[in-house]
Amino acid sequence: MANQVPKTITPEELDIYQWQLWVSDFGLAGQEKLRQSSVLVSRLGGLGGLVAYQLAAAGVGKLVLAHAGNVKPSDLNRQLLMTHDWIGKPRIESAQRRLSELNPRVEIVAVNANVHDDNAAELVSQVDLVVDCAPLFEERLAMNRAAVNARKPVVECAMYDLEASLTSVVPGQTPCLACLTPTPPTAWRREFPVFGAVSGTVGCMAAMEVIKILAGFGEPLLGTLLTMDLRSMQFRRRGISRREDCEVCGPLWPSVQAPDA
Amino acid sequence: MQIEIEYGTQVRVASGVTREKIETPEGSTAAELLARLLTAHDGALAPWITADGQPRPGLLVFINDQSPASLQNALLRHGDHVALMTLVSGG
Repeated sequence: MANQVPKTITPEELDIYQWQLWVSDFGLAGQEKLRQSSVLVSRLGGLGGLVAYQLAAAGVGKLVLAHAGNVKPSDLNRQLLMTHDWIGKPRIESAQRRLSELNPRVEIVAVNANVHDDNAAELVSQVDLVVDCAPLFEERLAMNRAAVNARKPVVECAMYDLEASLTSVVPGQTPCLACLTPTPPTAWRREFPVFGAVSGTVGCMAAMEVIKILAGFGEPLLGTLLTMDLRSMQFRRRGISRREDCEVCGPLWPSVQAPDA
Repeated sequence: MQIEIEYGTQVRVASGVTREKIETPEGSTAAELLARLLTAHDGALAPWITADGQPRPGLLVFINDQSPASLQNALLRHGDHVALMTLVSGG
């Protein structure tokens, strides 16, 4: 028996999303969930640009995009939403233009600012899910805190050299970023070696995590850090543990009662 | 006993190796192994490991692909695979 077409999916959208609608455990119901969903992408560099690009292509209803600063020549090996003709102009405008060209049906909220302690909660409140692609751990930890407080899932993706990692945080069900590092690592440097093909790989995988979580199918990386080394093409799933004294997500976990004496 | 060490991201670059095998006394803990690695690599891992084998913020340690709750209490066994890598980010 044919599925009922949800009233909000138009014939044009059926054409555009036809190939992903054929995914048996996604289908029209999954597409409708994506259409009604909203995602915050923090920074639109090598990672976030690809995440946003794939989410726009897949038909996520609303993207809130946060990225400050102007396009620099050194962005262009990996930041595929930025173009040569936009060097010296705001990154967020280049990203918005490229995403609107790809899928004009997606509502885009462009924020010419990076995430920090003062705006994280307000940005997170606008969406159903957050994707963390920022270069600074101060930003990442601020967004983690806001997302955990709001009980919103976070897809954490990262890269270095030819390596990358990916995990999904569901507050109260999985460890959060602060479980892995409660404070910014002092040995981390904001600029680091990487190829655009590495950021593109993990960015697309992060987008797939988002789609699975929003549409409710597949098996997201919950409590699991996927690490990938593209030099040797080795992928490993590694279990991560929550920190019982985590100040961010600890209060969400049921406390263990001492047995009666 | 012999432990296989895997290095990733920043600690791979700092150590100059991707994998190596290390001999440790029977009954060694993961913290004791980290202190041994700090010495074996002439302090190159000092940004991520303290002298008493504790991880500094940002170092991830996995024993047989699972992060232990405590490195001091994590007893190692012959043939264990220990992976060290740092948290990295976007850009």
